[in-house]
Amino acid sequence: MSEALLETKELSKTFNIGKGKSLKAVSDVSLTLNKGETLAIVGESGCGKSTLARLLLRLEQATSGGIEFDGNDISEISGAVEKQWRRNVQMVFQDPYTSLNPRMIAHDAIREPLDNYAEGTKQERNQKAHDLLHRVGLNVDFGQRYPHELSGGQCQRLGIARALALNPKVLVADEPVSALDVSIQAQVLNLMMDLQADLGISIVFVSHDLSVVRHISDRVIVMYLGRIVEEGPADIVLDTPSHPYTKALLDSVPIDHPSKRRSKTLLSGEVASPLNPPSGCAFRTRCPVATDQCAQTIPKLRSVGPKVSAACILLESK
Amino acid sequence: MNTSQTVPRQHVQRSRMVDFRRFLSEFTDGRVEKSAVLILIAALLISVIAPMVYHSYSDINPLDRMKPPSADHFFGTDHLGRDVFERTMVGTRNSLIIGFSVAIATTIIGCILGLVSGFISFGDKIIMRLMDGFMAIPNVLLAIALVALMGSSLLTIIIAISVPEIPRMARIVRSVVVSLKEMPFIDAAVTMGTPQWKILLRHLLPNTVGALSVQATATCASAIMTEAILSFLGAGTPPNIPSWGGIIAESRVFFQIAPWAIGFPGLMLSLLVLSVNILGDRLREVLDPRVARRRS
Repeated sequence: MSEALLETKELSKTFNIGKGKSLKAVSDVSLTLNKGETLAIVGESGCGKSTLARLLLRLEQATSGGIEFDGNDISEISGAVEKQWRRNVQMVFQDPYTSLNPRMIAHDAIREPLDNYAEGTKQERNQKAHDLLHRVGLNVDFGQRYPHELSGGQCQRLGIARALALNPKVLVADEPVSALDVSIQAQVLNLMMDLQADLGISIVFVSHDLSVVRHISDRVIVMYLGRIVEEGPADIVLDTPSHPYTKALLDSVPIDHPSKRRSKTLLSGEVASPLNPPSGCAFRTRCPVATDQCAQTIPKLRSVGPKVSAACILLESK
Repeated sequence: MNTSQTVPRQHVQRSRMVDFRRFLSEFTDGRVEKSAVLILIAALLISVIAPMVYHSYSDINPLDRMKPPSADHFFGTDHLGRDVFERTMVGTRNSLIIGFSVAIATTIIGCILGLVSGFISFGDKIIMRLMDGFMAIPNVLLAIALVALMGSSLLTIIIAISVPEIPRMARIVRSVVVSLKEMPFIDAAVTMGTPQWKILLRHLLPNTVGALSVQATATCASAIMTEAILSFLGAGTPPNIPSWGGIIAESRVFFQIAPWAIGFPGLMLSLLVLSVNILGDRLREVLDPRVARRRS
């Protein structure tokens, strides 16, 4: 359970946006994904969680820092080595429609990854595509349909089937349910959890929906402006948050029972611009407990409780 | 998991056959489209058969000058007593060859240039500025210059009309490819190990078909027009090959006395260009799976 599969070390990504300006989307992110676990990455829009997901998939090249997969450095691989590595890490996308080629029927979409690695005979690949459709709970006749003839939930199932075709060890899901109806969200989430239980894959689950995260994940990473602010087991982080940002984030989740309502620390203002981040702690401009000291140094992730780390100088390290 | 079912292969192929039949029936659906298809088929037949049947289209007959349409001469005769019907029929081949050759040549070359600059981003800026340059050349002037240099032939005309049309095609392909490149399904293809050439052929190219077919048919229609203009100006095909533009040019002086000599070839020209344009629009609709299935 605690065997590291995917690790990043001080991973950073800076985008040049012209006129000599640059945008630091991800800064010094070190994380570990263990075998068979679900790691959730949460945060507001623009906090760098999608960029982090793309870095893990090598859809973007990191500006600095390293990524290790199964103990091997993969941050500089290319060509045939990269192609062989790619089958280990697959992605489920946010928008189920645009992540499928509109001119390719479902069956062919699932067969594509199998064809790329020339697995077995053509007949076997057809059979496997067929089985995968069945596996994700799609009617086998849907194999002949184009994406626009499927519903959003069906497309997302198709996307999951395609991602599973190569028997990956890691599934990176970038907000896989945020574009779906609530009733469909539960179906797709349960499908992912079932598949994980059956196949033992690790999942990186990027989301801004904390109730979904609580439902699916083992560990949680909370990001703010490209940095990790808190990290730990899902139940501890979501029930007894340490970092003021995590607290505020959790307070923003509506509570369904009046007597359970608690006093809220609502955040004021906007997320600071990543083009011009505040000095010291990036969150200090909105933090209810910020002091002058917060502007001095960038807080480092430290252990603040059992298995929990947070990046805040006001928290006592344990 | 059920592994005992073994339907897939046949299933896939049968569905493609059904798709093809559906394509045909949808393509010819509607009166306007049916007429356009018929006109195009008729034009194709005429262009093959007419030169074999009619040999006297250049025969001058001074006694029969500027005769109105009759049973002997369906479209009447021109100022030299030549049969306008025969000349118009024989001229069909010229128009069709030029229209289709230009459309095919510009599609192939424009597509390659557009894909190279849009997808590979190799020399994107250089290629696009060159294309801007080519676009600035007026096709009629280029044709006149080329005919003066290389002599008047079908090939010269095809080249002259194609050159300024290629950039239009290249730009359209490039813009479609640049926007498609950012789509998540391209990222998906990368993560599942699809090689670049396959991304180009299976994911990008099929999605440019809509834009391509519209531009290709528009090019075909405009090439037929441009050829007529060139013949009208005397820079078209050699005089021994009748062409619609040439017939109109020779007869324009006698417009008031013998209107049929320019009316009939002009009518043929309009009908053909119109048909090609209608079918181009229809082609785009039918080739887009989203639009096609919604209709049925």
